[in-house]
Amino acid sequence: MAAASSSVDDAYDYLFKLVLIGDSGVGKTNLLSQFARSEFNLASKATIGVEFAWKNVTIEGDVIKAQIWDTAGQERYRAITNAYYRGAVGALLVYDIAKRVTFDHVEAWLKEVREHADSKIVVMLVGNKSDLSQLRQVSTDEAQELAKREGLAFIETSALTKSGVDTTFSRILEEIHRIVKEQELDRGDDDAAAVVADGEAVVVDDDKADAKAPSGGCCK
Amino acid sequence: MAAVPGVVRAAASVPGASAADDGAPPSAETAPARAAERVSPVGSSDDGESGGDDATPREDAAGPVAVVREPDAAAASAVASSGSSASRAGRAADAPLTAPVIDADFDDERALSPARRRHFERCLSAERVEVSELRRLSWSGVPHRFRARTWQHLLGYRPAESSSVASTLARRRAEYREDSRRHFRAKSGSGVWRTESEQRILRQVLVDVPRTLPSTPLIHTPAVQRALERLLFLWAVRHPASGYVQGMNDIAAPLLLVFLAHHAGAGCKDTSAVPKAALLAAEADVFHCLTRLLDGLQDHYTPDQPGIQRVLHRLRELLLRIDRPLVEHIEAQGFTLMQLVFPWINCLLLRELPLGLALRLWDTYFAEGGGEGGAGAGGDGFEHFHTYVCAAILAHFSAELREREKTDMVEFVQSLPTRSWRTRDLEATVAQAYIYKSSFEGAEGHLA
Ligand SMILES: Nc1nc2c(ncn2[C@@H]2O[C@H](COP(=O)(O)OP(=O)(O)OP(=O)(O)O)[C@@H](O)[C@H]2O)c(=O)[nH]1
Ligand SMILES: [Mg+2]
Repeated sequence: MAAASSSVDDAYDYLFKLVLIGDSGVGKTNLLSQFARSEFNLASKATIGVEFAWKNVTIEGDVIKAQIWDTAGQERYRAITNAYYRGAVGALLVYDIAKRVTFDHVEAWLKEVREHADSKIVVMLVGNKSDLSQLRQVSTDEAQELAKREGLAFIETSALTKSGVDTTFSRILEEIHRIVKEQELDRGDDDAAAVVADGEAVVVDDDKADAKAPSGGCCK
Repeated sequence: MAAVPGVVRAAASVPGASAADDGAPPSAETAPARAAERVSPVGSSDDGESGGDDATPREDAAGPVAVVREPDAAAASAVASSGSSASRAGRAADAPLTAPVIDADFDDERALSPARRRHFERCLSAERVEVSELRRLSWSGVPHRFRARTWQHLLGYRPAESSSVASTLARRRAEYREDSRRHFRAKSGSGVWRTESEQRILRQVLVDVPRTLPSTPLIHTPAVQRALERLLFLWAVRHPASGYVQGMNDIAAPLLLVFLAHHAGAGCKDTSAVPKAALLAAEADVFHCLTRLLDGLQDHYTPDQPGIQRVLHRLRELLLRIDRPLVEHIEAQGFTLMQLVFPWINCLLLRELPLGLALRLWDTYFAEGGGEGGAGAGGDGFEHFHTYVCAAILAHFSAELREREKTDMVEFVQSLPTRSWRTRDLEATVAQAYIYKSSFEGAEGHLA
């Protein structure tokens, strides 16, 4: 797993909870292992349920602890994985550029997000396996268009070559960071932000989380 | 790619890999230990292949020999005449240096004790196998070379009467072959038509099969990959209530590995030494045995997975009696047991234990199995006793778990030290599970 030892209650300024979603086999687990540990595994096992990893990054002087939940792609596990949308401030919705059907399912995934996550969750569309250019079945333009229509950020990556991987995570984290900062400025009140001060728990107190994301996952 | 696909650090060093193909067969030249002889001993009672595919042995690049095919089933005389194979069974010492003999990896000392081995040998070569005796014997582990036959008996797949083994297995294999042809071979010429749900199943199976037991080269040869695809697909098509669920590939793999070792001879490290007919027989046997195993776990994989929820509920009840502070700690961290140990139930601890130990644990599960191999044979061991084993593992790590908070605790469970366990650790856990079972079962009865 990620670098740090378990005993240290490491210092961070913000904690952002992200989820990785998308069809089975698109490369979610490898995107995460590249980001968190610079590892790619050609023979990773299918994710059963949900796996976890984290990494600290620094944005504008703030240390962000990115807490990332990698979910199983198969529908049968939806009942388990859905619980993890709670308190998430960002979602990476991944498809495989070499497998049309995984892109066709993007809309269905968006529906899941809208149903189970906070309405202000930041969603980024990620076209993975860009190294398989000869096998491409989804053009960049087409994905770009969908992203625009749905109001999502968009990027292509390769978990294999690591191309775009760090950019993906830093872009979504920066976006969340920006929103949180804005809200801090705007805000007069508040204990709402205290919500997940130590918000590693999956189950966040309901009304609070709902009231407040994306700041739902922030603050020290 | 290397024989053992490992984690690759830093992208640059990865050779032009593609998602579609990670099944490059491990190079065969490192494994000259294979038997050059025929895989099916002539006249043996069962493995003479049913289906008329030619069983021509492959020429082996390497010289003959060293590994003699283990004698088969009922043929008592064969057992007697092959003294050499008994002395070799899984002993690294006189095995050729090059390829690790599978037995040696999968057997512990006890399994190799001559007395125990003789006992199994006697039991399995009887005119009529006493399944209840075999069951008792198997509870504390089955020597790898007897595993295939033993598991098949305990599942009720292999007939107890030695005289009907050959004909019964031949029939079952032929049935499977027939079914398989209908769904694959016959169609492939003319553009395959499949229903929507069949396509969905196949898609998922094709995504998962290459990700099955990543570090076991035998599973990753193309022929074995195709076999696994076929049997998982067919199983799913025959069981529409659940269909194919991820993790079933993990469950089929040990069966395939054990049965292949049986058919191919223990020293076989990749399928270039496995004649086609032997692979086909193993494939059919796995299909039927997987069916029996999963019959006992059916609702573990239907929508909402009620069976798994039932196990988790029961596990929590048990733990509350065994180690209440642990349950309270876990829940105080904002997690449910479900979130922590779901994969243990879903994949039967295959991912948490070294393969050899998982096989050893399964010996006990099969031995715990239901009645004399009827439907639901998998249920008692793989659901009921499994629950006690999971409780024993959690209790074993209680201190480590309780000193960790929140996601630190989750990370600990994700990389559980059981992965480097030795036989004695597992034995202790199984013994503990047995104690729990004896103390709590009476009080609460079976899972409802
Ligand atoms: N060529 C190529 N292969 C990739 C890439 N990312 C992942 N893969 C391969 O695709 C397969 C699936 O990758 P995973 O990361 O396990 O997929 P997943 O989305 O986590 O799948 P589930 O856990 O089943 O939901 C593996 O064999 C990976 O090696 C990539 O960027 N390029
Ligand atoms: Mg995954």
